[in-house]
Amino acid sequence: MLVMQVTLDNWKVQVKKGYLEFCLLLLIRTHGRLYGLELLEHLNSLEMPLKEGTLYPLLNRLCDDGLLQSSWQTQNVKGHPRKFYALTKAGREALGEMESEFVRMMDIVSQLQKTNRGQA
Amino acid sequence: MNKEIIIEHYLSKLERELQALPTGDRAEILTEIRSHIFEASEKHPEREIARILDDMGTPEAVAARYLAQKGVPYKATTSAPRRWLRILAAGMAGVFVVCVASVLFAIWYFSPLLKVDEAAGRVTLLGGLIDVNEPAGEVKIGSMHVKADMSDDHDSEFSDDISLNLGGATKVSGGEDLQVRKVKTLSIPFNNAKLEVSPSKNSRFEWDCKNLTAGAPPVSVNAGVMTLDLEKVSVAKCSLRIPDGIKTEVRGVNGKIELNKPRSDFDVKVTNGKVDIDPDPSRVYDFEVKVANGVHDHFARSEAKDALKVKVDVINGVVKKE
Repeated sequence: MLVMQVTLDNWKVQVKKGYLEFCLLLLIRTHGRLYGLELLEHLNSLEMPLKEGTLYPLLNRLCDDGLLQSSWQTQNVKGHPRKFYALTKAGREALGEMESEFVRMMDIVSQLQKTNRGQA
Repeated sequence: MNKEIIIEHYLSKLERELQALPTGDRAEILTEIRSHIFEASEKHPEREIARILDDMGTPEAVAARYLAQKGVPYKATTSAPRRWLRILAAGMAGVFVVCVASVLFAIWYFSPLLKVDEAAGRVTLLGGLIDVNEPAGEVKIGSMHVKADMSDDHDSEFSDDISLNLGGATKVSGGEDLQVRKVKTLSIPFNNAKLEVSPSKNSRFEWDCKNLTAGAPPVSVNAGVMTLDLEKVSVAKCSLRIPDGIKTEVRGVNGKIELNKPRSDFDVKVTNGKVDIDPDPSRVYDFEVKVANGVHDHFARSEAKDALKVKVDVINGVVKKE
């Protein structure tokens, strides 16, 4: 149904907002250093597609916020320098907190699901 | 070759939209985006360059996101053809405004927007929407009707003589010791109110209100200034007691303010309404009374050093001496 689809899409957008940064930081932690295109490819393969025009400003902001640090690679790049991103110490700590918070949230969700089944 | 031109055109637009950013930041952003576009195009040669640029988004949209991250307000730059359209639109809007202005002028010219009858002490504005009736001691603003009891001032609550149509009003009183709170100035903004201001017998600032909205008017203190925000409670009828020497600002729309024997400096601004001043015969005052659209009694100025400065500004209304 169209209405339900719109509502669902809205919900997904909302949830995605908080979730996205979390996933980005996790990705960067896993791979150590990544640049824009690589990040986009990983996100695509995880079926979390993100528009390029959204990703780059977001990475920029995470650098400004001190969670990420960037470095340019100018060798072997055919005249197109690549900007690599890695977690800062603050970024690693923040990510740790996000993980705890996320686990807590999943806990609550599974509790809520159990209650529902009990009443079903 | 065509591809390069399209890409450079996109990037130069992006550069323009990012003008608000520092040169270094802007250069890094452009380098990163340029690299992305070229590399994406090389990795996926079958993809149209238009699709890659589409995936990135319009230069305006991308720039807006970068600027938002930096807390810079975004102002779209316009290209020449769009600029002409804007000028044309502005011209048409101008013509429209002139037409509307002439119609309004005609209405004003022919209808009694403001009628001042000084002898009878009556001021009518906007065809009777605002009606200040001095002899009857009445101010009518829209549907709000304020009828004053012309007898001597009350020290506490209003008696039943004063009828302000407050159906389910709540009574709220409060007070603050201004010496303890280190306050030297009071600010009382209002919106639809009848305020009766008298001197306090001590250092306490007190208020006794009856207002339409439930709840107490918020009180806050900042840098020696206390604010009793009567704007937040609509249709307030209050009796206020001001400690001596505390400069008081009363500002608002729609109201009747009574200054009874003021013993402090006052700065009163009312749009639509009336201010009554009953000076204390034992004090010297430096009055500065101005009325736009209305009448006021004569109030003397004074150069004396110990004169209390009472400034009153009324738009649409009356200032009277008791």
